[in-house]
Amino acid sequence: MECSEFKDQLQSMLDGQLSAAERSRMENHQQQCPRCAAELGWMQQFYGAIEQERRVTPSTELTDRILDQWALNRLKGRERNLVFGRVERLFIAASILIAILGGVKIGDLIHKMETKDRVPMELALLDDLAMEDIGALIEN
Amino acid sequence: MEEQELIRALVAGEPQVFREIIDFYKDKVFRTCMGFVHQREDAEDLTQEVFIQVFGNIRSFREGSAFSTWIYRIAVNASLNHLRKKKRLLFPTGFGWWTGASEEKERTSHHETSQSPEEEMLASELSELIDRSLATLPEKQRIAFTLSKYEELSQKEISAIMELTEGAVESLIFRAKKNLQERLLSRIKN
Ligand SMILES: [Zn+2]
Repeated sequence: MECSEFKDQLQSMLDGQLSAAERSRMENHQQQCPRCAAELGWMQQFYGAIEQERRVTPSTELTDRILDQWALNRLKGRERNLVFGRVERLFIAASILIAILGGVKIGDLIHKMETKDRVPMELALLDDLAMEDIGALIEN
Repeated sequence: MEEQELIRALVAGEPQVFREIIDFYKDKVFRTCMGFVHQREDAEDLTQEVFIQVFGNIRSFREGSAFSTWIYRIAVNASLNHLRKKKRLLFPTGFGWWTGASEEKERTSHHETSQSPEEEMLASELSELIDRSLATLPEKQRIAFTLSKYEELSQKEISAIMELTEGAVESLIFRAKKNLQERLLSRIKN
């Protein structure tokens, strides 16, 4: 057997895919050729190391650690929702403000079309009420 | 509870099965992550991350497809992301991966307490060797090789996880082994 053939068959040998006859030819070459023997040894060491890594197991506390982290994440998520809720309420307050002011403006225009002198008093009153409402909404 | 029952309960959003789900799958997830990162602490952190993703995204799991396929895919993606982040952290520091490797040696040295110092030394050197050898493989070869070697999954299972044909997986594993052999044997020539 040539070294090149040994090299070609090396992986099949490591995978245990050679027939008994093929294996004994490989073993014969290995005994005569220290270089190929060393290469086989090196490959066996590599796959042996992988086998060793496979046998490492996670620590027993890992399950609890994961459950704790999950609970913590849920809690943080809920806090975020609360903050978001506050922002949402402010957004609603702002929408109401725009709606009221818009309504007042339209009312103002209608009043202006109907009469020319009764407008300012009502407008001022509505405006004050609206501002108070919004102030209260924002404080909550 | 049986595996299928467990998964049904999980999909239905019953948090009391979370512990059982973790206990059922943690070794598989941990081993897969270990196959990519080769360090117990990192593999444990990744296992945690995988389960948090599983619980958080359970609604995107389609019942009827294999849960194990889904969880393996999450584990592979989390591991690859971890490696990419690590690479980004290591390269700008100038010395590249070999400075990182010496830090790793320190970290791995205390994870197997039952070994003698000599054995520990050897184990960490071998982990480093595995890490560096697998890192030279193209990504798909690396995934297919790792799933077949560390998880001993069949080509059919790997093909479902990677969304490839079985033939493609077979060829990826074959080329991965060839490349590893070349890489490793070139090391003893020097
Ligand atoms: Zn030879």
